[in-house]
This record gives sequence, C-alpha cells and structure tokens, in this order.
Amino acid sequence: MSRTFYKYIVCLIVLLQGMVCSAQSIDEYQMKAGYIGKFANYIDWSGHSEDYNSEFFIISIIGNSPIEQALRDFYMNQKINDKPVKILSINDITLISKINILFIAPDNEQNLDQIIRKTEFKPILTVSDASGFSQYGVLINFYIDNNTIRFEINKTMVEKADLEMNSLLYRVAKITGNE
Amino acid sequence: MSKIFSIRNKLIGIILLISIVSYSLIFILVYTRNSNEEKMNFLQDNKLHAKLIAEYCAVPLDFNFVDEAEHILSKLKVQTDILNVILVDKKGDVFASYVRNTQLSKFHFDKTNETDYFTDEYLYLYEDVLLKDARVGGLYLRVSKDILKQNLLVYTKSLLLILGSQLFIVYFLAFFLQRIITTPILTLNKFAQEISNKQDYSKRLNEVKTDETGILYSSFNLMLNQIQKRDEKINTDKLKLEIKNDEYIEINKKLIENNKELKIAKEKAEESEQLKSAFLANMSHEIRTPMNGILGFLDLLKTPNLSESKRSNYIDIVNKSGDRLLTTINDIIDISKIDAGQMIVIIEETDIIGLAKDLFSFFLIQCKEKGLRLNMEILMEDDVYITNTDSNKLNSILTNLIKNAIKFTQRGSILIELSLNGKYYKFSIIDTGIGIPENRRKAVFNRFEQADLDGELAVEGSGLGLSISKAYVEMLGGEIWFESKENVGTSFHVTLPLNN
Repeated sequence: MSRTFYKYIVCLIVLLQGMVCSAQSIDEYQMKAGYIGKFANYIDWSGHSEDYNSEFFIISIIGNSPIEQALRDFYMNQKINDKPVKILSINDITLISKINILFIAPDNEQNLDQIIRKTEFKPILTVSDASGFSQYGVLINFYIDNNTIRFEINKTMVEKADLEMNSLLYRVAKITGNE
Repeated sequence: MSKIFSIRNKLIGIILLISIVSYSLIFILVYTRNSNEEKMNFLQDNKLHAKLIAEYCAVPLDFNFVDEAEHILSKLKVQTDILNVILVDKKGDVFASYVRNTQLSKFHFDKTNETDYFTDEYLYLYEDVLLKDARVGGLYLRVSKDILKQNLLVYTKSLLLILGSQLFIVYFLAFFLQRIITTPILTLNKFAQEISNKQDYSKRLNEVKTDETGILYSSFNLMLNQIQKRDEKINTDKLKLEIKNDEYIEINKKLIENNKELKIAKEKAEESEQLKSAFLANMSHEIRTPMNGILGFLDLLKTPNLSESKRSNYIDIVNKSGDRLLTTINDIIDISKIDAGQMIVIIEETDIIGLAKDLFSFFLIQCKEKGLRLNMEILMEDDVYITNTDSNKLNSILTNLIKNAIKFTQRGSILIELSLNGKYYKFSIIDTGIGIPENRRKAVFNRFEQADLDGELAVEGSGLGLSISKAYVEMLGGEIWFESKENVGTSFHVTLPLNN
C-alpha cells in the first residue's frame, strides 16, 4: 500500500514536472503570440494601398516554429484591429504579399537576406525570435533576458518600411540597427 | 487746534484709510483668485506629470514589463513633490509602485475613487492608463503640497510687499498732495488769525483759485470789505463826534473864560464903585475941611480991631489949610496921571547920599517941633554916590514915607537908613509909631486907606500917599514893603536898581 502510494507520489511529481516544463515552453510561445497581437496596436497600416486593407488581419509564418500553433490557438476567437485573424503558413518567399505580419522562423537563416529584400519597403511587420536576426533587418526580434521575453527593434528598417510604428514601442524595446 | 487732528492729518488719514480698505479688498480678491489659480496650476502640472507617467507606463503595462514600469517610475526622483505612485492593471491589482521616501506614511489608495482631490497636506491624483483609447490600467499619485504652500507664501509675501509699498507711496503722495487742498485753507486760517490779532481789516486775500476755495476766498474778502466799510463809517461817525465834542469843549472854555472876565469886570465895577464912594467921602472931607478952615478964618480976619497975634495966627491957619488943600489936589492929579498912564519918568544922574542928607535936614525941624528924634545912617563908604534914576520921584517917595512916619509917631524917633545890597540900593524909614493893625496891613497900599480911618487916632491926609509911592517905585523898577508891630513901630523899605 505504502509502496504503491510512493510510486504514485513519484509518478505524480514526475508528471507535474513534465507538465511544468511543457507549460513553460507553451507559455513562451503563447506570450510571443500575444505580443505579436499587441504589436498590431502600435503599427499603422492605414493610408497604404488597398491591397493590404483586406477584411482579415493576416499573419504569415515562414519556416517551422511552435509559434504557428500558438498563434492559431490564441487568435482562434480573438480579433486584431477589429478584424478576424488569418494564420497562413508559407514556404515560398515569392508568395509573400498582402500580409500584415510575417513571422520569420529561425530556420530561415539561409534565405534571410532574400526575405528581407522582398519585404523591406513594404507595409509588412517582420517578426522573428532568433538571435542576430534583428541586425540582419527583421523589424522586431524576440530574445530572452533574465528569464523574461524581450524584443529588439531595428529602427533603421522600421523607418525604411512602408508603415508607421508608434514610438512608445521603442521605450520597452532594445533598439538596434543594421550591421 | 490739536496737531493730531489737523485738517492735513485728517486728509492723509482718509486717503490712507480708503487705500487700506481698497488694498485689502484687492488683496483678498487677488489672493483668492491667484491662490485658486496657483492651486489649479499645481493640479494641472501634476496632472500633466501623471498623464506622462501613465503614457510611459502604458506600454510596459501592456507588455507586462514590471521592471520596465518600475524603472520609469523611479525616474520620478527628480520630481521632489511626487511622494507616491501606484500603477494598477486593468483589474485594479498593483502592477508597480514608487515611494519617494520610505519614512513617509503609507499610501492607501482607494480603488473606487478615481478622482483628484486635495487634503491639507497632499494632492491625490488618479489617471487612467490608456493605450489607443483603451484603459489598460490606472495610476494613483500622492503629491506633497509643500511647493504649493511655499509658492503661496512667497506670493502672499510679495503681494503684501507690493501693497505695502503702494500704501507707502500713497502716504507720500497724500503727504505732498494734501497741500493742494490744505494750503489755501491754512492760508485762510493764518490770514484770519492775523486779521483777528492785528484788527487790520484793510488786507485782502489773493484770489487765484477757481474752485470752492476761490469762492471761499472771495466771500471772505467780501466780508472783509463789509467789515471795513462798517468800520470806516463808525470811525467817521466817531471822528465827527470827536470834532463836535472838541467844539463843545472849546465853547465851554470860552464860556468859562467869559464868565471869569464877567466876574472880574463885575468885581472891578464893584470895586470902582466902592472906590468912588470912598474917594467921594474922603475927598469931600479932605477938600471941605481945609476949605472951611480957609473960608472961616478969612471971615474972622474981617473982624475989626483984631490983635496982631490973633491975626497972625489966623493967617497961619489959612496958609496951612491952603497947603493941605494943595497937597490933596496934587495927589489927586498925580494919581489921575498914573491911572491915565501919563506920568513920565525922567532919568538923570542923582547923588542918593546927597538926597538922603537933604531929606534929613528938611525934616529935622519938623521932628524937633513934634518932639521926635530924627536919625540917619548911611551904610556906605563913599560921601557921594551917583546913580541914574528919577530924582523927583525918588524924593517924592521918601518924603511921603518920612511924612507918614512923623504923622503916625507921637514920641520916640525916626531913622533914615541907606544901604547898598548887590545891584540894588535900599532906603529904610523906621519909626517908633503906633504901627499898623493886623487887619489893615493888606490895604496899606490901597487908595484912601489909613491905618485907623475910623479910630480916634485918625490923622489928616488924603490916603493916596502910599498908593502913589508904590506906583512910583514900580515905575522905577524897584520894590516897596514894610514890617510893622502895633504900638512898637513900622519900617518901610524901598529897593531900587543901581544905574537905572
């Protein structure tokens, strides 16, 4: 009885630990997904070509990242800028068009230049969570500092991009530029 | 007039009082208005801070960056009057907080009170934390009112200083400008006092002002005119009265003088009447007696067979009576001449010692006949003493005096004395006769008076002798007087100037 009880306790601890671990990773991407939605509050896409003024708020993900699932979960019933959110997964750079936010997964390191060149003068907010991506030209890049999620903004690229970023966002971000 | 309540001080006092009242009102108004404004400014300033903080905190709150929020709040250290800040999230839970000084009393914020309000010590503020017009949280602030209080104190002090200096300026202006009003009044006052003291209503004020003071001045001058006119009239009347009074006094004087003259005239008239009566009585006696003697004895001489001795005696009596009559008539003529001013004085060189000696010789026989001794004393060293005088009149004077002496002396002696006395020479005729009674002495030199006219001792004589003598002495510039004692004798003295 007592042995079974101990086994049960041990199993429970292990299970809980696993749950905590998985919860942590899920929590991280969920937070990132939430932040991506919040970014939309600080970006002004209006005043640009009608092509981008669709009835959906479109977030595209290029490459593989747990963020895709997190985004789908987070924005299943939630709107951004009073628009229903559409999550698109793309693998071909040429398909990048008419989207509001492009999440660049860390596995795009090889064709990052190409992606940047394709988006830099367009009203597309590029977001990534890979070290060094900001300096390559991604507008907002997540990083972990002291166990908290933070983001950096490439101000040079923001100014190049065909969109307006609220300067309030700079206050909570690390500002970078092109290397 | 008390200095404290002088018109000048009253004026300054009134101006100051008005100034103080109005400045107090201004102070209250301005202070109330400005303290409210200051309070509002203070509120607005801090509200602005709150808004800024809220704006800064909005993003960290949005992204749940607590450390970022606290970092922002920590920058409030430069705002010394912000004591506490509490940032709450949408639900009202504390997200971040800031305390300026941990020793401060704990800041209990009221979740339900999302307004701004003042307490005695603090200003409590609430500000919504908004992001794109959506409330993401709230901000509670507690602000120290020290700066506000200090500002108000400084403001009050400077306001009081300004008002005080204005009051000072007002005092000075009032002090100097009150003269515009007080100087004419004080001048009038001084002028009135001067007039009152000197009683001089001829002065006038210079009428220069055209305001009420000017009217007062001209009224005052008008009044002075009236007073002066009245005074002049009174003075004229007075003068007239005085002149009339003088005239009356003059008339009165004249009347008194006239009265006196009348009285004297009356007295003279009475006197002359009396004299006339006495003269007539005397003369009738003096003329009738010798005339009777002459006529009576002339009748007796007609008697035949008259003895030679008797006839000789009768002729002698007629002769004597004729002499007596002649003397009387001469006396009357002399006195008439004197009275008429026709008596002439003839001055010639005369030896007075010789004159005295001649008189002595002349009267020596007469005295011997009457049994009297006649003596002479010349109290001079020379034998001859020549002086200028009317010798006839001097002779007449002395003859008269010696005759009188012989007439009124029954026994004893008669002394003729001559002496020098300075610029005068003096004749004295001294007898041992009956003397002059006391009650007669005054009238000795009057006409027709004798020592005892009515008495038994009355002797013959016109009574004009001494009167004539006195008149002669006075003509020659001398004096005549006498000393007498009844039954002892009489001394007559005559002094005459040497070298007349």
